[in-house]
Parts: sequence; structure tokens; C-alpha cells
Amino acid sequence: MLKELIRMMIQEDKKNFINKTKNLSYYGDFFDPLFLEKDPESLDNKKSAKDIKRLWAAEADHAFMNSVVKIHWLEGSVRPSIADDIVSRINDIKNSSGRDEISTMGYIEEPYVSKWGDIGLVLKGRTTLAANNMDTIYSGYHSMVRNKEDIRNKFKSSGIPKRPTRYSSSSAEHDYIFDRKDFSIYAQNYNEFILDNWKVIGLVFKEADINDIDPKKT
Amino acid sequence: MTSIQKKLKTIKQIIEQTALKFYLNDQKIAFEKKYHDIMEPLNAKTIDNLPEINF
Repeated sequence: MLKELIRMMIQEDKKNFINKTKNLSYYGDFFDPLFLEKDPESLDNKKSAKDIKRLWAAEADHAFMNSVVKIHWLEGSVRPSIADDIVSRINDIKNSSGRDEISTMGYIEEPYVSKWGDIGLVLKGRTTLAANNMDTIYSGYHSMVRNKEDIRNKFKSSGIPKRPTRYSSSSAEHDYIFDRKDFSIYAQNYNEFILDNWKVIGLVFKEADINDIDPKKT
Repeated sequence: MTSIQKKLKTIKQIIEQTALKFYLNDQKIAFEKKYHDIMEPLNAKTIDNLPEINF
């Protein structure tokens, strides 16, 4: 009885979100992930994107989100020629404020692997949006943002946000993650968890890379 | 130095210079001695004491 009640309450969270966003639908510019263009459509989309994140935050199971291992993968493999560059990039991220939102992949079981890179940064922070398919969110890259210095100043206190550049309630119903029930193990390589107020707590080296090491050849 | 040793040294360099705890998906690795020869001086954290990374 109690389990049934909890199950219904959990389903209710997602249903609430879908109901509240059923009239929202947009397809923004991937190259303008912050919706900085001043045309009316972009401004409407920006408002929708902010509403989506606010409504998601209200309905998501944040205890579950905190339990997910979240990894930001760095492009590149483990080889001496890139070590200095990787160290520099890791330290830049590690020493940043953690207020710029960042994309991660979420894992609830091993292996912690990704096709996006061989070295991952394990992060802890507040999840602000999550989906089994990163293409459902399509949050873009901060490197795409034009006039970076201006943007840095604009978001000086809050940090640079990440937002869904597209939305349909049918995609969200299928892919958005609100709790454990929505999380697909099979999508661990392709999901997205956006984090705010994060910090780096560790490094992960990808299994495939380590498994290249054959003791017979040493 | 073999390519394997170079790879491990690279990992070691990254760990040392970032001062971060680390985790390897290394349960299936059959080269423990070689691996630990390089990593033990770092007092490195592996899957056996994963909680210390505080996931």
C-alpha cells in the first residue's frame, strides 16, 4: 500500500511537469545557447527555457540526483604528449568558481565510461536538469557563446547558465529524468545532467583505455 | 620505456599535478604488480577504496 502510494506520488511529479509545460514548444538556435539574440522568438524561447528548468527543479527527486555519479569528460586520450595540456585544463576547471553550469554524464552503476573522452572529472553539485538523451536538452557549449567577455560580465554574479535549446512535452515525457524510475541504465553513455554550484571531487580514467595495457607486452 | 609504462606515468603525472583522488575502472586489469609498482608511492586510491573519493 505504502509502495503503491509512493509510486503514484513519483509518477505525479512527472505528470505535473508535463501538464505545466504542455503548451511550451520551441526549437532554438544551438549556436545561441543562452538565447542572447533580441528577436521576439528568441526572447520567448528564453522565457520557456527558464520556466522548464524552474518547473523541473520543483518536481525532481533531488535526493536521487545527488546519488548519481556525475562525470564531465575531457576530450583526449591518456598519452604523454597531452599530459601538460590535460593537467592545465583540469586545474582550470578545478579552480573555477563552479557557478557556471556544466554538462555531465550521470551513472548509477559501473562502468564509468564514455565515448566523449578517456579522462573524466567527477563533480558534485546541484542538478538543474537531467535527461536520458542529451539531444533532448541540446544545451550547447559555452565555447559557442559569442562576445565572451560581455557574457562573462553579464553573468558575473550568477555564473553562466546552461539551458535547453529545444523543447517538446512529448520528448520530455520520454527522456527527462525526475527520479530513479526514469533513469535508463542503457543511456548512461548518452544522458545529460546539468550541474550548478559544483566542485571537482576526483578523476576517472576510462576502463577501455586502461585495458589497453596488456601485461604480456610489458 | 614501453607504451604501457608511458601511459601509467602520464596518469601518475595528471594525478600528482592536479592533487585529485582518482578512480580506475580497473577490476579486470591483470597487471597489478606493474600497476602498483608505479601507483603505490602515490598512496593512490583505487576501486578497492572507492568510498574515499566520496562519490
